[in-house]
Amino acid sequence: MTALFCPESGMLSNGTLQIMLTDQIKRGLIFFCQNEGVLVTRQEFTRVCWESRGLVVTDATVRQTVYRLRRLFREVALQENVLETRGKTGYFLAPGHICLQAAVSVQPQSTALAEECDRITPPETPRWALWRLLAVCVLCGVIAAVAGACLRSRDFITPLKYRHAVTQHDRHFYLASTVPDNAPDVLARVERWLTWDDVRLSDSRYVYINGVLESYVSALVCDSPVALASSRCHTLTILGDNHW
Amino acid sequence: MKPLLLVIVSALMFGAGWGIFPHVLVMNAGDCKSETTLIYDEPTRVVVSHAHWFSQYGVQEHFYLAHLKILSDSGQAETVLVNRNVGTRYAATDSGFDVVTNRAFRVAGPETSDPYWGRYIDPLAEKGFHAQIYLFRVPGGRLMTGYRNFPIAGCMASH
Repeated sequence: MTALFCPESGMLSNGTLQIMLTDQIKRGLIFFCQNEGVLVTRQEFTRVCWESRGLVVTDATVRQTVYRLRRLFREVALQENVLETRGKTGYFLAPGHICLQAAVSVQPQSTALAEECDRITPPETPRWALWRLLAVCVLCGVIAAVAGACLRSRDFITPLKYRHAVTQHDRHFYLASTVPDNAPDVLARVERWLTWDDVRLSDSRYVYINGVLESYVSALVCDSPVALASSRCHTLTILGDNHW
Repeated sequence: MKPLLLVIVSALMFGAGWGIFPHVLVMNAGDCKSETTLIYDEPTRVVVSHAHWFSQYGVQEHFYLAHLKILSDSGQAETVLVNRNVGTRYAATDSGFDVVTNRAFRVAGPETSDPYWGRYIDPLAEKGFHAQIYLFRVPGGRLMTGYRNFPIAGCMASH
């Protein structure tokens, strides 16, 4: 059985239970983890955890700290003899029972232990889990909304495709895909009306026939190719076929 | 539970994207100007309408300015100017817009009920005009409007 200890936060966890250690207990456990598998003397323990910080403590305080650590180990289902008191010599933390999360550089004693440390991950706090779910929902929602809009645009807007029919008298005539090829009269009619209406050649070099239905013709007349953003176009609709 | 929630959210947002697209299109339409020429090739005369449509707020407010000219076969020519301030409302359908002219204010020119000139005034400039309008995209990305399979007018410039 192993437990996970984060020296930065002071969290001791066995995967299901998390316990926040007090500063005093945390320093004690950090010291033992840094010296796991090694017998440390009580004096050394006292010096590192208290005297180095300018504190003078009694033996009772030191014993109480060790007692509390053992009690915490019991709570996270570690055996109490993970931390042994070796007579009057000192203390011994059995290696491989405490996995450290970053901060203190203590190498795991074996690869199996390292793998077990990897398996023990502290449970995600509910708040973070909620934010992550919200972020995933928002991302999926945005993608779905864009997909819906794209699908609608395909049904909503009909793309016009033109094919070049003929170039005559410096005018380029194009037919929309819905206009049949056998519509030469249409081109002649449009050209005659453009001339009759005194439409300048420079304003009508490109003529796109959009629709033909008996005597009805609809066209787009441009000064340059319609695909250009700068092209100036106007629509021409001819109703009737009496004069030409 | 989480996969089900994601599926529900995605389905709802897909529907929202599908439904909101036409309105986003209108909101982003901006102002535009279109020029149209209609030639009525009648048996005894030719009538030409050169018109400008200035549209604002997408498809909802327009100013119609047309120059009508009647040229009879006998050589007689008559002209008139028509100005209208037009308001339209739209409703998105599966494949286009249902457009209604709900307001048409005559600024100048004959009424649409005029027996001589009225029928040459653009029907969209008359209150009560109601039609299903379709959208077409020309190469380059600009949009045209018209009836099914018949593009008629387009916003070719912004004003």
